[in-house]
Amino acid sequence: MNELQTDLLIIGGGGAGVMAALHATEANPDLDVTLVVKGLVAQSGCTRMVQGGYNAVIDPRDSFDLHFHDTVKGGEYVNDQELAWILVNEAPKRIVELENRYGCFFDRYSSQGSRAEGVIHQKPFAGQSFDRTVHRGDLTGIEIMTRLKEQLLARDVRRLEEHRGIDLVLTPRGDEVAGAILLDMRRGELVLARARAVLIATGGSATMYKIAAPSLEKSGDGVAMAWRAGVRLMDMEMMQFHPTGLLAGKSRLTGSVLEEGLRGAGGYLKNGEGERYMARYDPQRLERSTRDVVSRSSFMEISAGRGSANDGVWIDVSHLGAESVEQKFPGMVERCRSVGFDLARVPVEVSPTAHFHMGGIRIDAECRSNLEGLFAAGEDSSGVHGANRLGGNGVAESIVFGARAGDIIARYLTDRGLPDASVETIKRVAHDAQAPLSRTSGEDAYALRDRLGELTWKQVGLVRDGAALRDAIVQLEEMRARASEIAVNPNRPLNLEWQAALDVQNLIEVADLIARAANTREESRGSHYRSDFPNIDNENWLRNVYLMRNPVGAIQVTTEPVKLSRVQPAQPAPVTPG
Amino acid sequence: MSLESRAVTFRILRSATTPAVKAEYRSYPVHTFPRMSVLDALFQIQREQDRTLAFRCSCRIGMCGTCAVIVNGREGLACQTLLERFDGEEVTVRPLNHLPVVKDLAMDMEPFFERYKAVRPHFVPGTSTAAAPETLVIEQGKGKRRWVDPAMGCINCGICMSSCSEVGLNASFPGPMALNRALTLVNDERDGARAERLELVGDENGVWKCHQMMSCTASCPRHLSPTRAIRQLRQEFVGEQQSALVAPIKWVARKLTGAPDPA
Repeated sequence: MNELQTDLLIIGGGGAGVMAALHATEANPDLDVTLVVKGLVAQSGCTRMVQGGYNAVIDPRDSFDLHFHDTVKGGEYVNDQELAWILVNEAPKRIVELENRYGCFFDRYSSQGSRAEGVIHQKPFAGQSFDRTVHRGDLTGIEIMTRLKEQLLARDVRRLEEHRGIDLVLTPRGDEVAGAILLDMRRGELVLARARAVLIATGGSATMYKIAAPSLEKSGDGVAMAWRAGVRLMDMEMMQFHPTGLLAGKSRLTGSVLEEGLRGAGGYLKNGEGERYMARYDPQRLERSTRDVVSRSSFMEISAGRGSANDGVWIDVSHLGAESVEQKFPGMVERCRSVGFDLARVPVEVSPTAHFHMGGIRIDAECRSNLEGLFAAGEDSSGVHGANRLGGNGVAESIVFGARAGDIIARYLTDRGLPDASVETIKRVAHDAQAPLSRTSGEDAYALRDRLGELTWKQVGLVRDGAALRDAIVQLEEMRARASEIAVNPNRPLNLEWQAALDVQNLIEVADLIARAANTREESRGSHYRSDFPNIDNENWLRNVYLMRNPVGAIQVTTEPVKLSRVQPAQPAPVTPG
Repeated sequence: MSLESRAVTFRILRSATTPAVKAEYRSYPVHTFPRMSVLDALFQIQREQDRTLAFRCSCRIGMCGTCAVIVNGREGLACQTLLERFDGEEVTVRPLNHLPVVKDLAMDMEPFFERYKAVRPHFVPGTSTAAAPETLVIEQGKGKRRWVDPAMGCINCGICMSSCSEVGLNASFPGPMALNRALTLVNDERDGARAERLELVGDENGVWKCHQMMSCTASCPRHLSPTRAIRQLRQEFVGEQQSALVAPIKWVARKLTGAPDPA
């Protein structure tokens, strides 16, 4: 097996990973930084796909308190309030950095705006008490990630493109991270990367669901790897569904997000009978209600037989004026047009779509996990968003915590040596990862993935109940056994079937953890809805759900009260400015 | 043009597996479904007919720029190229031009990014920009930003580079993707490397090598016009040269007439 040594191994090349690389090398130019990317750097992953924008307090009429309050209120008060406070405080600094250091250019107010011409424009997003979403048209991620890619290309960072993390490697005693085993997907060969610190920034696992929004290569690799290494996870039951995923039949476009701003701007959601059904679920906020409420309402309409012909609902923005829609949402108009729908003039069929995992690796304010040397940032981590993420807080999290992790790890490395790597782990992981290539017959990776999509959508999705979750856990156990018997074609270079096998193994692992956490939380909160416990229960459930493996491998589920360090659920919101 | 299902034959250029075996087209029958894209077809073929087929994609919504291929002779993003566009019974897919192939339809993009790097495509903050505590007040779509804003939004897919004959002939030509980026930077008043960049793009292998054939503009999936960007860059370069010539003459004139120096 090829081997490399590096100071900082970053697994993931989206917003969090690239920001960490830029900040770590800036803090200490002598650091040897290695960036591992499953696709092409800054082009794969979900920061690239950000449409709506980035929440930051810039306008003097806005305040950190308001943004913070929106974030924990949206998260139904199970957020880690210190992490949420960091997000709110550092988001504006990073906007300045993105523009003044890296050359991003976000949209400005015109002479007709509510602020001076040329000041950064901020648009309304659901669940926010102030218009604070910074954006570049409706395709913001391209601007951010292309500029970051250019900066990365100009710096001395080792880029391992089309490489994936297979598993973390620990020290022989198992109490520190010593690196990771990677797969060079182009050559089909394993690589041992020994590192003084590892940052996990691979993104989430929403792709396990039948209808899902994220980029296709994502498969919960970071959380699955961390879990197998004994890392503590939190709030795994919190999986967000975006209300407006495009329905385009068998096309791969199905599930891709039509951005939140369409509802923010006043778009209607209608059921198959043409009724604005949100009046039934949230009469005050209607379509501008939070993502969890809108998604669940749509799902319930569809389940009650009031959906559209293809089990969806309709988003209708035609009353906003075709010209205005075409001017404000050119990317969305074009995407719909590419599959034959005229978004500006007629209703378009949409469905809730699995979108973002709020749960993940438990980190502290320094991005540290419970495993020495292992850090996490972005969607792989947990706590910032609680039970529901606000639109515009996702890219902000990746940029803020990626940068923060880079700074912190650079300092951490001043007095950390290169740990020894456990030879047994390396042998076992290498064997398991390559086993599908040597089987001449066995399970089919794609069939398993289809089954996982159906199972999670029906039983671990928008509406859950104890019996269905427990049944899912049993089914997932059986699927896990099958996934360890997958056979793929034996050609190593760029073998997509082999990647599909590794993907589905990780997704089954994570799905099981989501089901277990969801079965534990006997209440409904944010994105987690239990039809057998349909109400929020602040008396018993202002708690976080933790998952951990004990030394013999058994799964331990525990809960702990949320530290309400800054605000209490009963506390009224700060007064919204006029 | 039809939304109905129909039978087409995909001819895909499969790369050499050993030095002895050359790249060759292989055929795969596909039954289309409504709104099926080339990417959808590749996924279907890979799963149902030949699991050794390799291609690249991430976002499948035209944002990542990693699924660019040549379909029936024209560059396009596989995810944005719908089969209803083609009337014939055959759809031919091959990798982009001017690049080494990793496998089948996945190219090694590094040579294009090497050319990109030749124009210093990364923002270099000017001293006042770097020192500014806040983002700057800049009127969008006005002044020099009139040139910048329409040229933004490139996704680095490499389609323009593949379509450009000069890129194929001249290894030192930065190519449309790089020159389009250069234009946006030399007109970004926050950037501090304008002069250096104009020099880089103005040399004998730079903007003057473009034949203005518009292949890049015709093929850009983001509807950008690198051709227009290159034309404007030429003007910027000439303008800069002229002002460099004219400035000393004006200085002498001011000294002779006693006119004040400009602020």
